[in-house]
Amino acid sequence: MKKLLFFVLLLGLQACKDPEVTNPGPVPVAGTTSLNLQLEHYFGNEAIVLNQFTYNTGQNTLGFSNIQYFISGVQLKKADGSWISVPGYAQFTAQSISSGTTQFTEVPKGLYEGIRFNIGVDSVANHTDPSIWPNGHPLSIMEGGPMHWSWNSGYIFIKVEGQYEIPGNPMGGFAYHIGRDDLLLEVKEEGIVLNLQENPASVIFRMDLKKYFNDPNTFTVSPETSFTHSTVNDTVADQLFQNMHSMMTLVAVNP
Amino acid sequence: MKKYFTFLAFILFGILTACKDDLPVQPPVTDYPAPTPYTFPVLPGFPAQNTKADNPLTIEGIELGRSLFYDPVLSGDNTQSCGSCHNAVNGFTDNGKAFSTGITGAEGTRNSMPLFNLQWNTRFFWDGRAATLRQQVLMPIQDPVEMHELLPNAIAELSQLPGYKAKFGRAFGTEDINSERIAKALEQFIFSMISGQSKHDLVLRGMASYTDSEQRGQDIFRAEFSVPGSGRPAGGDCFHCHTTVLFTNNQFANNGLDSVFTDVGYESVTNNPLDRGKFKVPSLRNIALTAPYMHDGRFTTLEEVIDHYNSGIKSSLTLDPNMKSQGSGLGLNPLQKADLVAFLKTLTDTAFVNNPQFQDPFTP
Repeated sequence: MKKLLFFVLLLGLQACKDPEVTNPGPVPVAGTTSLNLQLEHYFGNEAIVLNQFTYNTGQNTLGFSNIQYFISGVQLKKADGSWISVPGYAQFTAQSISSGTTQFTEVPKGLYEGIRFNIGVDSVANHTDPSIWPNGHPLSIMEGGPMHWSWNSGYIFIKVEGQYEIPGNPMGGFAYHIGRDDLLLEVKEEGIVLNLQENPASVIFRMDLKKYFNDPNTFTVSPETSFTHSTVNDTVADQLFQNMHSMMTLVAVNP
Repeated sequence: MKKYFTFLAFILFGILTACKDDLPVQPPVTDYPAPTPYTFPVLPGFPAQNTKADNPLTIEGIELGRSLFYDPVLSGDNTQSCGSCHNAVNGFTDNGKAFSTGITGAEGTRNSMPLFNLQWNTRFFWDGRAATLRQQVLMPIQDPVEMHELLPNAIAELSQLPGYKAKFGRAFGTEDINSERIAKALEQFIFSMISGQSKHDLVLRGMASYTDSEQRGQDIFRAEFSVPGSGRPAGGDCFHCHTTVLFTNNQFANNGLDSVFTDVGYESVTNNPLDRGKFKVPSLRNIALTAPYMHDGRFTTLEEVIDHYNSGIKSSLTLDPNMKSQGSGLGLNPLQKADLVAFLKTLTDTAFVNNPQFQDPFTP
C-alpha cells in the first residue's frame, strides 16, 4: 500500500512538471553582441528640424522635407588590421526626427579599432529583384519601393528633398536622388576603441547637410539644378556625391 | 484499507485539478467547422502576401465579403452596394463617372478609386484618411453622400436576411454579426483581388511581346526627363512615382494640377500646409479601364492625362520636386505621346476584371 501511495505521489510530481518550452523567442547567437549605429542630421551646428525653411547654405535659404537613405556593408576593423563584416541592411527615414538608430545584431564579440559602412546598397543587392525580400525588410517592395527605380539602376541610395527660396518667386522644390553603383559612399573611421567584447555598444555619426551643399563644391540650388536622378554624366549628382564625402563625421563611441 | 483508498482518491483528484492550468488550451467552441485557408496565386515579381495576422484569408471569409460587397442591404435605402460605384469592368471604378452619386442623389467630390492589389497599399482614399482597409470599408457605408446607412441598422437587416447568419458562421465560427466582422469579411474579399496578369506582366514572363509602339512607350515611361532639343532620348519620368511592380510608390504627391487648391487633399488629414494639394499616387495597372482620371476626374482620356504632364503642369509650393525641373511639362511629340498610351494599355488585366471570383454573386 505504501508503494502505491509513493507511485501516486510520483505521478503527481511528474504531471505538474513545467510543460516543455517550444517557442522560447529570439535566442542570442553565441559569441555575438549588438552594434547600435546612430545617425544625426545636422545643418552646421544645428540639428535639422524638417519642414523648417531657415537653413542658409550661403547660396540659398532652404528647408528639408525628407532625408532618407540606406546603410549597408557595415564592417569592423580588428586589431590585426583585418575587417569583419556585420550582416544586415538598414533604411533611415528622417521624415519626422532629427536622428535615428539602427541595431545590427550578430556582431562577433571583440575589441575593434575601426568601423566602415556604405550609404547605399551594394551592387549585388542593388540589382536583385526586390520581390525576393520578405515584407518588412528594408530592401523589400513594401519598405524600399519608394526608394527603388524599377528598371534603371536599382535603389536610390539617398534622397534629400525640400524647398528653397527663390527671391521674388514662390519657393521651389528640390529633389536629389543619388543612386548608382559608382555613387556608393563609403564612410570609414579608424583609430577608435569600440569595445564589443561583452555588451552592445553604440557608434554615433553626424550627417552635416551644410557640407552637402558646400564642401568642396559650392552648390547653388536653382531651377536648373533642383533635381538629380543620377543619370550618367549628371553634373548635379557628381557634385553632390563629391560633397557627400565630407558630410559624415564621427561624434562618439559609447561606451 | 478503505481509509487508504479514500486518501488516494483525494490525492488523485488534487493532482487532476491542480494541474489544470498546464493542460493544452482548448480552442473556443464554435458552431461551425474551421474555415478553409485561401491559397494565394504566386505571381513572379510581386511582394510576399501582406494580409493581416488577425484576419487570415479563407474561402468562406472571402465569399462572405463578396456577398457583402455586392449587397445593397448595406445602404440606407437598400439600393446601393459597394459594387455600385466599383464596377469590375471599369477596374472597380464607377462606370466612367467623375463623381459617384449616393442614395440621396448627392454627388461626391472625388473620383471612385480602383480596387486591386490593396493588401500592399498604405493609407486609403485619395486623401489617405483611412490608415487601414478595415477602417476604410466601413466609411462609405456610413457616409451621408454615399450609402448613408447606420451600422446598427445594417447589422439588424443582415440578421433578418436568410443565409447571412450561416455565412458569418462559416467564415468566423459563430453566427454573430457585428461591424468588425463585416469589415473583416470585406477586407478578405478585397485583399483577394490581385491584378498581375496584364500583357505587361506576360511580356516580363516571356509569354508575350510588345508591339514596336508599346516598346517605345515603355522606354519613355522609364526614362528620365530630358530637355527637348538636348539630344538625349525623350523621357516621361513616370517611373519615379509609378514605381515597382505595383506601379505606385504609395506616397502622396502634388502633380501640378492646380496652383490654387479648392481641394487640399492630404493636408486635410495631416494639417500640414506642405501637404496641400497632395493626393494618393494611384497604381497605373488597369489604367485604360478607370477613366476619368485624377482625384476629381477632370481628364476623360489617357491622352488628356499625358497632355497635362506634357505641357500643363502648374507650379505651387508643394509641387512634387521631381516635376519642378520639367517646367510646364515633358515636351513629348505626338508620336511619343501615342507610344506612351500604347504602353499604358498593356497594363490592362482582362483576366482580373473578368475573374468570376470577383463578380456580383446576385447577378445570374
